Amino acid sequence: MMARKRIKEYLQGYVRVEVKGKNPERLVNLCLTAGFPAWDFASKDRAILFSTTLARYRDIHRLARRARCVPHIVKRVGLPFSVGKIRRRPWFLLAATLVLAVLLYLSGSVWSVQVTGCEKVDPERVLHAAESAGLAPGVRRSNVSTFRAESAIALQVPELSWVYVRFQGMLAVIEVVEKSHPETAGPGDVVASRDGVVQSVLVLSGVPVVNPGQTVKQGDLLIAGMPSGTLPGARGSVVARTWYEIYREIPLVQQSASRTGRKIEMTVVRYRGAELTLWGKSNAFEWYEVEDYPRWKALRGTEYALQIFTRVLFELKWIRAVISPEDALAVAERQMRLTIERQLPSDAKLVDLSCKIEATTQDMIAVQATASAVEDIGEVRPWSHQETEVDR
Amino acid sequence: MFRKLRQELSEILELPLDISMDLPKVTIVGDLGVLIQNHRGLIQYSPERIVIGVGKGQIAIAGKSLEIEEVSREDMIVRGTIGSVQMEA
Repeated sequence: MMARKRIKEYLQGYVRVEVKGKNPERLVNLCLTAGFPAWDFASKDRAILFSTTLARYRDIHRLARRARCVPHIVKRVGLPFSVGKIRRRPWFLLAATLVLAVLLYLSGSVWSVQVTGCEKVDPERVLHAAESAGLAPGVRRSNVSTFRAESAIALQVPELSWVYVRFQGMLAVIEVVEKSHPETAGPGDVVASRDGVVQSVLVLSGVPVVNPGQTVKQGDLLIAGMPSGTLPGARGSVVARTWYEIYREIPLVQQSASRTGRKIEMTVVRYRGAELTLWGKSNAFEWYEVEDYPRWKALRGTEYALQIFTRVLFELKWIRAVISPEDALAVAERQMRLTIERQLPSDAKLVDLSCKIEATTQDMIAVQATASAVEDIGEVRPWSHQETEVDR
Repeated sequence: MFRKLRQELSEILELPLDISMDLPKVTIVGDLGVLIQNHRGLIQYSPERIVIGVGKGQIAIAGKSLEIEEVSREDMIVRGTIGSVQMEA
């Protein structure tokens, strides 16, 4: 039977009728003549099936007698029949309504609470704090204030620096980030981390031992801690001028590579670290630079990643250039400044750099650089256990 | 005689012959369906063969899985795999 959408007939209800007899075609013709609504005719085992409206079905019997056929309903379709079925099964309707209501109710509840981001903090503490703010398994989602829960967790677990509560369906997720503390040394004295001339002393606790203008060596005591005081360890900042020395040899004959303009393109396939050249020569140049341009990738992010790319080889030639000792010195100064700046602590400031040619040969110059910086040279040297006990 | 006169009169007046002469009009949609207008009723119906009465004679539709999708006093739509449509006197 052809599937048809007859909304009006469905709402009013219709029946599927099977007509059996000597001449069922005659009944069809009588129906048509009488203006019966009929559709979806089908033939089956010398019988004819068709659909007609529920209201006109009773009148078919009169016509069936004239056609000497026997009609009977094989199927009832439509809203009136569906409603009748449901009305005959009140318990089914009640159970369905109940299940729907329970489902709706449960979908609005928090079934589980999950904590993510805990490394040192016990997740149970976070869950306990959330519970105190009304966020726990079983509560209604509409009754939970995420802002209140976040505030309560942040207050009750001070080790956390950030808290965020979100809902993922029936799951509540608490995302946290723990505070990170810089590691501090135990109580002790402040000593010089390197040689220098003291420029200023700032004491937060302890007794200063050095004065501005005084020269100190690495390991010298700068601020002494007092084991019997309320703040036993020495703390403070001792800014001093320090010196750095670097030695470097710069060749006077410099070689640099430059592209000749000739290039070769190759197509290469790479699979599990192995490369295979599909076409193109790879050994055409003695010296060359390589640039790869990906063309196609498959199974990315897996160990079976397959990649096809174009590899371009640029031919290089070496250019020999002789530079003067002055130019070499300028190169050395530039390189040494970069080296020293990398060596210096982040709070140190480079104030002076002087370079001096120590020796000159035909091929190279030797350069000695002296840099002057201002930095905090104080570092805490913790007391040993015995030292602390003796002092007490 | 009367039929010939009616035909000639229709041609003179440029009237559609199917209306003026009460003739059936058959529209075939590929092998998917047949629309018969101005029919006189169902004579035989089986999934392989449907015979429909028309003014003078009958139209026999042969095929597979034939179904009468829609039928009214004047029109009939037959669906299925149409094999042949034959006019029988």
